[in-house]
Order: sequence, then C-alpha cells, then structure tokens
Amino acid sequence: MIGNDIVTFTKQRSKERQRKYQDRILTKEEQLLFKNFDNKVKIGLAWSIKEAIYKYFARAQDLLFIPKNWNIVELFSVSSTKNVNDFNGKFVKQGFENLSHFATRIQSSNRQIFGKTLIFENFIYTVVTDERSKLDKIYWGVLEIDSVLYRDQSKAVRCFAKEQFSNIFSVANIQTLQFRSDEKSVPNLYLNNIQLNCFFSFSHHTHFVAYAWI
Amino acid sequence: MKDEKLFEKVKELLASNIDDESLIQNMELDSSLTKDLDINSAYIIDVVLDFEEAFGIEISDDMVTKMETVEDIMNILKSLKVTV
Repeated sequence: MIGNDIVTFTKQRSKERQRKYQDRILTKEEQLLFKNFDNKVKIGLAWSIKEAIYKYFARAQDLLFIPKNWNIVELFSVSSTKNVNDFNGKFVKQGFENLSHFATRIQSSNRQIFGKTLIFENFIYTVVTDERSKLDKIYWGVLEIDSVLYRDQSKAVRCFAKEQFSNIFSVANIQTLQFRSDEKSVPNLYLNNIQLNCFFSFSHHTHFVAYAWI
Repeated sequence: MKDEKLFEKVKELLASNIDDESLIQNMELDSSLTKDLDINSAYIIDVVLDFEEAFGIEISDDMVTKMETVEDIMNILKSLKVTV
C-alpha cells in the first residue's frame, strides 16, 4: 500500500495559531523531533506526513483521522547534491535517489511505516509505504495547475496520473485506462474495464496535484 | 430561527477558509467542507481552532473526525451547548 500528500505554504498563521495547530497534530515527543524546523515548515511537514499515513491506511480500512494516533518516531535529513527547488511546473520521478529529502519512520500500534518528504520552495510532498526499500521504487509526480477548485484538482490529478501510468503499463490507447472511485471514494485503476491490482495515492492542494504509485 | 442564527455564524467562520466567494454564498447545510466548499483537509484543524476560539469551547479529536458537512459542525456546536 502507499499514501502521499502535498501541502503548500499559502496559509498565514499567527505564532499562537501555529502553536495550537502543532499541539493538535503532534505529540510532545514528536514536537521534540520537529523542534529545529521553523514554524511554517514544521506544520506543513507534520501535516503532510500524517495525512499521507492516513491515506496509506484508509485505502484498506475505515479509519478515523486522528493525527496523534500515528507517531513519527524518526525524522532525519538525507542530503544530496541535487536541489529540488528547481521545480518548473512538473516533476515526474521514480524513487528519491539524488534528491535531498527527509526520511521518516512512523509507528502505528504494531506497524511501522516509512516515508520520504521533499521540501520545495512552495510546497511539501510526502510519500509513505510499509518498507523503507520500497520507497526508491515508487513512481511519483507533482504538477502545477491553474485552478484551485476541488473538482479541477481532482480531474487534473487523474489526467496527470493516467498519462504517467499509461507509460508505466505501456498502454497504447490511454482511453482504455480509467479511474473509478468505490463507495468509500477511493479511486481504483481499470484497464479495459478490468480492475488492476495496484497501489496508488492522489493528493492536491491549491495549485498543485500529485500522485504516487507502487 | 435559532438554527438560522447559528448557521449564519458557522458560515461566517468558515468563510475565512474559503477562497471562492460564490461557494460561501451557496453554502447549504449538507455542503461538504472539502468537496463543496473546497476547504483543504490541511485547513480542517484551522476550522476547528476558529470555532474553539470563537465560542470558547473544546472540540475533541473524535468530534473532528465527524466534521464532514456544515450540518455536522452545527450538530457538534449544539452538543456543546453553544449559543449565538
């Protein structure tokens, strides 16, 4: 399974609001892990990790989103010569090799989840899955779009993913590939009306949409 | 009447997290916070904090998970005996 999330830095919050926000989503132990980040990054980073974990679990089970139920127990920087700030509207990748990022480990009951987070100039992007080694096999992409409306974001992320998935699956006719949402609003991928057994996750925030696939 | 006043107050408080004026104008009781009002999930905590600060209440995590529509917010506020 897989989860992803994208968070942009558009919301202005007072210091008091930032403190209340982080108290709401991070445990005391987690706040120590995040203490060296400035407040703006801290909130975006924490939220993107927690929301990505929620998406990871929500695909398989009905789940309530209570951020403090998943504990971020490890968060460290992995440096590279490649700077991710050179985002020019579209990013399509497999894995995170040669990209500076933050690696994370999350504990949830008896499960461990691993994630990688990239901090761009305008947004933060996180992908999580169940094995650290799988993270470098994940196909992911981020696209900047004109609209900020939910319906446009939703449409755009599906078009963007369909384009990329058709390359991954070597599908000649892109129209044969479709996303259909189930009763829980979880999207599934179909090829020639047959559901494919694959794991992917969509996310969007303001002008950015993203997918991750494994 | 009581509910109308509460609805107007909820609408006013939600408005600060909604960019599109027409979405605010067309807000209904059954409007979904994310799908109809375009409030990103990352801002739901801001919505919760706005209501806590405006009414001097505490909204539990369990209540937050039930906040999908405008009506859900109204029901939470009523259960907390909020008066407008």
